[in-house]
Amino acid sequence: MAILSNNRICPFKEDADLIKKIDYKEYKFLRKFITEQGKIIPAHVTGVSAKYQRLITSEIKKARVLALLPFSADPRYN
Amino acid sequence: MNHYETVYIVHPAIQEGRLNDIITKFHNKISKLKGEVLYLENWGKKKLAYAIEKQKYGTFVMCQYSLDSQAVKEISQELELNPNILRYLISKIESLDVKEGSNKLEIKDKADAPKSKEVENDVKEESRTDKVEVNEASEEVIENDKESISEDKIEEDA
Repeated sequence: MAILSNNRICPFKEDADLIKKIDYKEYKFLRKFITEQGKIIPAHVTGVSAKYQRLITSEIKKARVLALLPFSADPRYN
Repeated sequence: MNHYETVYIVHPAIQEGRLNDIITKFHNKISKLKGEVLYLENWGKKKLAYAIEKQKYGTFVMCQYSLDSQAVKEISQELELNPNILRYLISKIESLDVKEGSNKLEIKDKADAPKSKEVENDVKEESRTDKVEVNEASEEVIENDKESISEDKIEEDA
């Protein structure tokens, strides 16, 4: 969870390779932006800018449809 | 014509031969609707984040193709009515996002494995030759523009 740092600089700022990774097929990368329960972490915690948070949420929701990411998960059983 | 990407989850109990049948059937449907399959990728058997139709695992197949926008409905109907497909997702993509590679079925035979390796080697060699050419070109530019810098570089190289 290196992304969850205190400095509020967007990790996607001027990083084209990282921006390409915002894709439902890269569900392992998107796991950084959900909690253990499966909730999407708000942008004010991760420091992601609004532009990319919008992309992240839509891609996470696509990955959920394909059961690549959970809608909700119980961390006690996983 | 738009570009679309479809990922569908096939029932885990289906063996490779029947899986290939399902994939070819899907491709035939696309070609019937005057589309063209551009890329195919089999992700293999994966664990699902939650059970779908009481199945904990599923075989994922990703397919990129070009198709008329009105024909997408028929594709989704085809996938919806197939009992062997647990879940599917059709998304529109840009033509630049289409991956390069084969659109044919990958047959996992031992005889085919060395062939693919040879292809990889060829690709690597090509890229190397390209790089060499680029270097030569850049050196020429440097020589033409700033002779002094090119001399320094040659000394360093020596």
